[in-house]
Amino acid sequence: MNERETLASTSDSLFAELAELGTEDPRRKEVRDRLVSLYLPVARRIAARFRGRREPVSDLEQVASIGLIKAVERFDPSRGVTFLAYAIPTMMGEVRRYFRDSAWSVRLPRRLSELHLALGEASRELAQQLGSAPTPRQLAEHLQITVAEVQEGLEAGESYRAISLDNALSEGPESPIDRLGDEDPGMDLVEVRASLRPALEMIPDRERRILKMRFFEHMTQTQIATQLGLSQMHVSRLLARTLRTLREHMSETPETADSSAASNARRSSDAHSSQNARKGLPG
Amino acid sequence: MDDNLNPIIDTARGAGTSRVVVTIPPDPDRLELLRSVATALAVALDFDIDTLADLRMAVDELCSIAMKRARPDGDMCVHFETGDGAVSVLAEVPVSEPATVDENSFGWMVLQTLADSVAWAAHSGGAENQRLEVRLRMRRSQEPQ
Repeated sequence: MNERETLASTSDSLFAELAELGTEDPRRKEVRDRLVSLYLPVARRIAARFRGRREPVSDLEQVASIGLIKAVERFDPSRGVTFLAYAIPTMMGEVRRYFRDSAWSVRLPRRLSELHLALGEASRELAQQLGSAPTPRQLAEHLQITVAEVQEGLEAGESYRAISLDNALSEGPESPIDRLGDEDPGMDLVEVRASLRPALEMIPDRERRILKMRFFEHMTQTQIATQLGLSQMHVSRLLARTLRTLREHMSETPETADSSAASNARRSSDAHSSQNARKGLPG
Repeated sequence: MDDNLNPIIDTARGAGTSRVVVTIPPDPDRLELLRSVATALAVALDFDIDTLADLRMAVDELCSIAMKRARPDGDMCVHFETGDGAVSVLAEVPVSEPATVDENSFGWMVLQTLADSVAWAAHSGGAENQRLEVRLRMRRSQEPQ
């Protein structure tokens, strides 16, 4: 049996186990965590797919992992598709939404970044109204702009030079799927990020974004508020609460940011963070 | 976008079928142009924004697969076609040795999950005319009928 088949059969038996557990059974979480850990390398590969955009790969890995967790939670084996066929679009969708919603991360001319932001908001609103993703025409009507402008705005957030997954993964004789668990030298985390990472995964996306704007991009609260369409007071409140959460979490976490441990324990730290990401999900 | 592409793309709004052919060097820097063409055609077909984004990623992947195997001095030819609420993309490159696509590769698997159908074919027509083509088709909405 090759690694890919081993992966598939392990995950089949875990999903079968999950199906037998009642919805309230505490063991569900444990089985789901094992599934998440199992597929985490795939999430990492999805994240690597977007390398070359401005986002740090480690952030994208987190976003892709959240997609993976959602996929594990929603996957229904009785529908006859494999978990990977279900999980890959889910993870990619998550990364995509992250880009669509984070206009701030792309240095665009003001008009375009505003357009991009307006599209993000309108997409959310319309998606809620319609129950599905809107079309550019619907977005244009909603925002009273032309379809061409909508297209321009959508593309503005996505200018990146893509690296083929095939290209990125299949150098060498073995099948890339066999190497999914390999270390990626480009993904080592700096010490600060390594120590913050599990904690960061506990806080909601928007709060994490605000935190980054304030402390990694050195924006003022007013600038953040303007960009996110919130009041400065709201930003201030969210920041304070986020810092509190981080402090609490970090003081109760026995794990230290020892640099040698961080570089030696990539796998275990990934498994650990997947559990934390679970906690960070609503519901 | 090239001015001379616009009239061709515009016909997609009215007519049932339309076709755009783009010829470029097999250089990843040109992927953005290819994404834009696909997007323009799909927008005219009223694809929703999620399917649009899937299409863009699929075009990237498809064309990257072709580019990677292309003879560096040869031109890559990408045919876009719309009809029946679907966009089809065919990327064709000259290759210097018989080229194959590993259907077990992660890239191909991703392509299969993004697009409604994908296929590849190798054409051998003498040493000078060996070509590889990869193609995909995506319908307006991927939701179950």
